[in-house]
Amino acid sequence: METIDDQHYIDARETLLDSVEALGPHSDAVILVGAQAIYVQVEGEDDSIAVAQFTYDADLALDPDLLGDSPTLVDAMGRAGFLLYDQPGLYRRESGAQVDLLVPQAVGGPGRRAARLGVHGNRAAMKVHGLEGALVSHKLTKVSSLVPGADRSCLLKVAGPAALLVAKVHKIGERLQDPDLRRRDQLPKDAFDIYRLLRAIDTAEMVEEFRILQAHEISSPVTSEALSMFQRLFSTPSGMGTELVVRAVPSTEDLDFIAASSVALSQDLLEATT
Amino acid sequence: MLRNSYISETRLLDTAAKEIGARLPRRWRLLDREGDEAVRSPQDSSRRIDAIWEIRDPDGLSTDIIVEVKATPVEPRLVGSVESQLKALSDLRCRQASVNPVFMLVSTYLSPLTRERLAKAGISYADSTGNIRFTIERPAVYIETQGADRNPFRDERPLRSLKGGRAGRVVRGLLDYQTPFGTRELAAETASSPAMISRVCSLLEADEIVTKESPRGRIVSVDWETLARRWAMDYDFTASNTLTSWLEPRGTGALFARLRETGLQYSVTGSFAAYRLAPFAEPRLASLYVDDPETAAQSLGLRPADAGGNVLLVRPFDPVAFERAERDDGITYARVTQVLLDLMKGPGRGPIEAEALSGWMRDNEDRWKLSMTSTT
Repeated sequence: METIDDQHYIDARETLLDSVEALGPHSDAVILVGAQAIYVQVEGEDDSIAVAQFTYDADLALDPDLLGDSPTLVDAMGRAGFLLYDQPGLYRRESGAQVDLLVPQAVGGPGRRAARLGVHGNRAAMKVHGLEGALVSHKLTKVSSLVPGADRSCLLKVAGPAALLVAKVHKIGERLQDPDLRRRDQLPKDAFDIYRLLRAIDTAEMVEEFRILQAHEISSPVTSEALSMFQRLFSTPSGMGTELVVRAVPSTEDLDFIAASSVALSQDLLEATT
Repeated sequence: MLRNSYISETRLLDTAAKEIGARLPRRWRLLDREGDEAVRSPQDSSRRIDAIWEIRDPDGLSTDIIVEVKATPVEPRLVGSVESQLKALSDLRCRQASVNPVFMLVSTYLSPLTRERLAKAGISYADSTGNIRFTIERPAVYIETQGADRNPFRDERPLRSLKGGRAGRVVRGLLDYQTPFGTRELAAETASSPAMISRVCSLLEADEIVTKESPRGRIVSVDWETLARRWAMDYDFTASNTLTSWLEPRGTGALFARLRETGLQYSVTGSFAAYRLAPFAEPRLASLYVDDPETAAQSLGLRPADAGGNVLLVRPFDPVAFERAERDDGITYARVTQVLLDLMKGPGRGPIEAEALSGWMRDNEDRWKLSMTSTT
């Protein structure tokens, strides 16, 4: 990828590695989700489309059952310079680098936004609907620094492509309902991340993972919801999801192809899962 | 028998009338009434009756014959249109003269199949090789004579363009091989007839695109750049071939990965084939010659695309599109000369890519010109 955002991408990976190191004692409970997980999943795959893999954030899902008591999440993050910001689970460094600690809603306990995490308190992580699949489907993966010549990496659970797709679909679905239009600014990027997954991951592989998600009680409800939203948003050229994918792409690209291929791959997936 | 030259419609008519007249019984007469009764369609002046003959027996019983003349051989598939044309002209005339004429087609050459179809349609005919079928009910007359069963004009008319597969094959040969070479050698290499080679060369010699050492001698030079431009006047990638649009949703990279493993006959042309030699802009549309687009699409996992297709499957104007292909990194590419032509009149950035490619070809003639002795 040669894009002007390369440096941002490299920096974001460094932030991720820093935060995973900071959470070292809890590493078993940590699962990489969000855009960075998608980039790890599609790395080395077709990258002929010049859409920047642009993100500052590292999104980490936590499995409360596997979380130890000490040090507390807030302390561990704080020692690496990531300070809890003005909302639950949002940590920031002075540089602006941001890490989100998230707990799938199904295991996040009562309350509206913050996860109830015992000794870690009620502000250490935010509850998110749609992330449940990450607890069920993930793989230990070596994630390496992108700094040229650097020999830095960590072994980390990375959510599977289907779990990531389900989470992204929920995010898009929710934000499209949100009256605060500013929260829609990032949606083309999110939709394009779904397209990246569809392009890079073999449909049969994705379908197999979907079956696992649908079979597990924690992930089954969000997976079914996601598939019906996905159908509505992505299965036709005029669907909002398809439109968002196209909106993410510079007009110099072949937009008709992007739309046609997004629809075709979405239909393939839906046909095989429903 | 007339051969080897353009025969005018008037001469064809005269000859046919003479041949038929000579075979009529004594005191029968075949009259040419074109002079006084030529009929024109008021809507369309091009639709006119070429000739009206009248046949008259000794008792004065007569009928009119509406004659259509074609200065070129009439293919079997055209019989239907000749028939409807004659009917339309006859309707027009019947309204004017309230007579019930018979139909006749006169041509340079009519093949056995054409003749069979004409007879079935009840159209009399005569060609310049002596094939005649002249049958009229009132007054009753029947003449049938046998001429040539093979078209004597084939390959001997001077070529006026490089259209079509047979000319294309020869042009590809002229472009691909290093001079000098003989007409027969080139005929063998391109699976063409020596007559076809001569016809193409005659056309090109006039413009000094091809030079022979003597009128019947070897071809000693071919100006390939001018020849390519000359061919492009008659060859158009999108019009000369049959194009179908398909989608590989995972991108052309996925298609090429599958091509490396396929047993399918194909050759890559267009932007991707040019990019390999003369990189211009990152190609997007993959163009592949295949025998049968439907089968190929199925075997390559492509789906039909109305919009947004990234793969063109092309049924070629002639199998020469597959010939002298090159293998590179597991992919079969059409010969660079074919790629050049496909881009020159191709869609999108094709013409600009053709410029870049011909630049490369100019600098690297030794890398793409084939030696005739080294190939079998």
